[in-house]
Amino acid sequence: MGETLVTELFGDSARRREARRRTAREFRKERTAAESAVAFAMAACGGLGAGEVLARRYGHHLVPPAWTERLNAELRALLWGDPAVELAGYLLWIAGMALLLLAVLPGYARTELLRGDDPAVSAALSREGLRRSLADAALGTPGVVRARVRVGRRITVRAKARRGTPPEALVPLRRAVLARLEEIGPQRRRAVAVRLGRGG
Amino acid sequence: MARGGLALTGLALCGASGVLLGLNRFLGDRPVLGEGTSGFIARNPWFWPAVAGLLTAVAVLGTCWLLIQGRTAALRRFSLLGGRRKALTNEAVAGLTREVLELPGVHDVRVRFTGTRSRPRVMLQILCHESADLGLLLARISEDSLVRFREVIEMPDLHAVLRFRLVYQETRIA
Repeated sequence: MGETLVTELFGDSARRREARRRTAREFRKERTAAESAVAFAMAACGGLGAGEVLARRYGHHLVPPAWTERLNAELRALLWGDPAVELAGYLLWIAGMALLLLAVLPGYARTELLRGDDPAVSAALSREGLRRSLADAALGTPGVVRARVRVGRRITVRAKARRGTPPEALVPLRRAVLARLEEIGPQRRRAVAVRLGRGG
Repeated sequence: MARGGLALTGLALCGASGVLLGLNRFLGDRPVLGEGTSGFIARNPWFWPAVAGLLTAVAVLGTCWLLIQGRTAALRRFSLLGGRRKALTNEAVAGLTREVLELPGVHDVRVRFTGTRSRPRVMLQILCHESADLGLLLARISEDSLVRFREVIEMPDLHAVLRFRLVYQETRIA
C-alpha cells in the first residue's frame, strides 16, 4: 500500500509537471513575424546568391552586372579598419542579440498561466483579469469601499474602508483575497501584501 | 524548431559580428577585397561551387522553415478535417459550447476546433464574471465537458486550450 501511494504521488507530481510544461509552451508568445522574416530572408538571399553564382558559370546574370561591378569596386576600396565595417559589425551583433532574446524570452508577461493536473488541458487568464478578480474579492469584504490591486513580482492590494471600520477588517480582507487567488490558481506563486486604509 | 531556428540564426549573426569586428581591429589597413583574396579565389576552382552549395543549403533551409511556419500557423487556426468527421466535430463543438454556457459565472464562450485527426486541438475563449470561481470552472470543463467531447469526436489525444477573460463591472457600489 505504501508503495502504491508513493507511485501515485510521484505519478501525480509528474503529471502536474507535464501539465505545467505544456501550458507554458502553449501560451508562449508566437514569434511568427520574426521567424517568417528570417526564413524569408534566408530563402531569398540564399536563392538569389546561389542563382547568381550558377548563372555566371554559364555566362548569364540574375543581378545586373553593373551592380556587381560596383559592389566589387567598393569592396576593393573599403578597408577592414573603416568605420563602416565597424558599424556593420555592431549592427550584426544587435540583430543577433535581438533574435536570441526573441528566441529565449517566453513573451507571455500579460498572461497568467493557471495550474492544472491534466497535461491535455492548458489554461490561462489575462493579468488584467487576475487583477480585477482580486479587486472584486477585496470589494466583497464588509466595510471595503475601494480596492486597487497591483500584480507584479508580488501582489499588492490597497483597499480603503468606510469610516468607523475596525482595523480587524484587514483579516477578512486578506482571507478573501487569498481565497480568490487560490480559486483562480495561477501557476506563479507570489507573496501577497494587503493594506487597508480608512476614511473612504 | 522555430524558436531554435531563431536562436541559431541569432548566434550565427553574433558570430559573424565577432569575426567582422575582429577583422576590423586586426586587419585595419588591408582592403576587404584585396589581391590576396582575389588570388585565393582564382587558385581554388572549388571556391564558387562551394559558395553556391552553401547558399543553396541556406535557401533550402529558409524555404523549409517558411513551409513549416505556414503549416504550424494553419494547424493552430484552422481545422483540416473533412467529410463525416468534420460534421461530427461541428456538432460536438456546438454541444460543448452549450454545456460550458450553462456553467455558473460564464457569460459567453467561443469554441474552435483546429488541427488534424492526429494532432487535434480545441480552443475555448471563455468570458466570465469577475467573481466567477475559475478553479471550479476549469475543473468542471476539464473533468466533465472535455472528457465527453473527446469521446464523442473519438480523439482521446485532443489538447484543449482555455483562455479565460473577465467581464468587468465598471462601477461597483460596495
